[in-house]
Amino acid sequence: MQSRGRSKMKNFKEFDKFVELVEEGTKELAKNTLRGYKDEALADAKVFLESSKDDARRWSKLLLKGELTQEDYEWLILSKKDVVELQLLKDAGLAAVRIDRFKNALMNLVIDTAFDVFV
Amino acid sequence: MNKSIKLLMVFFSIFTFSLFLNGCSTVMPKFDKVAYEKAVSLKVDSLALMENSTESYDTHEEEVKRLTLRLEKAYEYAKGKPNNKLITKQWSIIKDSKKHQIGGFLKRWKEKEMLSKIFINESKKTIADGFDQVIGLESGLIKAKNAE
Repeated sequence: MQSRGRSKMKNFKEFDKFVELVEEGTKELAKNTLRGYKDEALADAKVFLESSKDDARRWSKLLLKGELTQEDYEWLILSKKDVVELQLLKDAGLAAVRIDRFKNALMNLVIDTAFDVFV
Repeated sequence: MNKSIKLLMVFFSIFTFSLFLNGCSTVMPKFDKVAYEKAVSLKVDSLALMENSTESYDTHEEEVKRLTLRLEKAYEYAKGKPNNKLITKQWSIIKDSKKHQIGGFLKRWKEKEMLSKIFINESKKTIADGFDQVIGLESGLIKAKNAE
């Protein structure tokens, strides 16, 4: 009876160790696969905003000089707006790609840790 | 610990995590060389055709039709791939004649018959930027594949 109880305790300890190792590994994985994404996305947005300001200034000057019509000017502004939408879709896609990578690596970590701890 | 219990625990752990991970199913497709090349080739050909829009639309109508058909094919190709909603949405914006990317530019050319050189040069920049967002996402799939 006592030995069965001890065996059960050992099983729980091994499971705790497994959970602990997966937890540690997950933190490391998250650092390696998801790190830097926010900074990259913000830098990308900053470059885009700067170039948009330059474009809008240049188009305004061309409009004032009569080299662009009001209709051309509006078309270009709306075109830039479409680029923003396309960029947001790209950013969402790249974030999803990182999550997929993280998920695959996490699955490998769980399998490796389970075999290391239990077998 | 009994070997069969150990194996049971391994399978239980893996099964539990698989259930959890399947809940957050794969959201992006694998890298597709054909899709990437289609995007690059359509960008180059669109910008080249735009150069001609200082001339009469009628003289380039056949080229416009051919390009429009290729854009439509790229959209349908993207739409047919699983987990590819974001890239499909990007193509829908690029080809849409009511939007302000290449599809909208070609419609404007047809309506105006010919366009000014300055407008063409400025719109080439925004249309190239638009294609770059599709190409950027497709090449982001390369990075993901290499990193695995």
